[in-house]
Amino acid sequence: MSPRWFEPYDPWFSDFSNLRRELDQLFDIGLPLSNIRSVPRGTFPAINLCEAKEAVRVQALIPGVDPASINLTFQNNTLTIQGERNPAQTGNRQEVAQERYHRRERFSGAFARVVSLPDGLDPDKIQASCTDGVLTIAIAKREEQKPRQISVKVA
Amino acid sequence: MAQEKNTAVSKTEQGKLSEIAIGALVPPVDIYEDQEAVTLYADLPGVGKDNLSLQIDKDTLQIYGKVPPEFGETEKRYSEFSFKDYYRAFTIGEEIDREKIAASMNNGVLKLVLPKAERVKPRKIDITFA
Repeated sequence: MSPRWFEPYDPWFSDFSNLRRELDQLFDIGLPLSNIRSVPRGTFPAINLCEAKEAVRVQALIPGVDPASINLTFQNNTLTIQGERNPAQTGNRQEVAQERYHRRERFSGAFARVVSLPDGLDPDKIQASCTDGVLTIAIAKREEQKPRQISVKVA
Repeated sequence: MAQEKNTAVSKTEQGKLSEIAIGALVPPVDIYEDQEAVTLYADLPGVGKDNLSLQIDKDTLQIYGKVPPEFGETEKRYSEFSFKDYYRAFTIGEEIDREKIAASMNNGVLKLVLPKAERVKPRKIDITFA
C-alpha cells in the first residue's frame, strides 16, 4: 500500500478516496498529458511558492528534519533544498527492526528539491526560518523589479 | 474564519473530535512495537505543542492538530499543499496502559509512546522439576 500523504479525512467515502488514490497513481505513471513540473504524490518535501510585492517566499514542509542540517543554496535564480531525514529519530539512532513496524508511511532518507524562481531576486537578501517543521525562505526582489513612475518630458 | 476556529475548539472540549475532523488532513505515521510499548510518530508540520490535542475515549485514540493561520499564504504562485488541520484516529487494545501514555512534539513531529500494561509484558517462567 502506498503512503497517504496529507489527504483530507473522510470516513464515509474512504473507499472512494482509495479508488481516487489508485487512479492518481495510475495517472502519475500513465497519463500522456501532465504538467512537466508536476511531482508525484508523496514527494518530500512538499513546497509552496508565494510571490508578494517585496519578496518571493518558498515554504517547504520538513517535519522531523533538524533545521541546522538543511543545505540551502541559491544560484542563477535556482533554489536548492537538500537534507536527510532519519525516520525513527530514536535518540541513540538505534535501528528498529523491519518486522517491528506496523506502519511506515513517513518519508525517510536523503532528499533534494530544486526550485526555479523568477528573475530579479537579490541573492544578498535571503532569509530562512523554520517553525514546527515548516521551512520558510524569503528572497527579496531587487529595487529595479519594483514598479516605477516615469515622467514624460515635453520637447 | 475565526468563528469556525472557535467552534472547532469548543467542540474539542466537548469530546467530539471526529466531527470537526471532516476535511482535515490525514498525517502520515510510523508505528512500531516492541516488548515495552507501541511507539507512534506522526508528521504534523505547522503544529506546535500548544495546538495539539490528544484524546483517548475507551479504545479510540484521536490525534488532532491545529495549524495557526499565520502559516497560510495568500499569493501562491505554485502550490503542492495547503495548510489545514490534521486529524487521525486509531483503535488501541486493552493492553495499553492509558495512564502512562507520553507525548512529545519536536520540529513538527509528534512522538507518542503507548506503554503496555505490566500484565501483558513477556515474562520468564521458571520451570521446576519435581
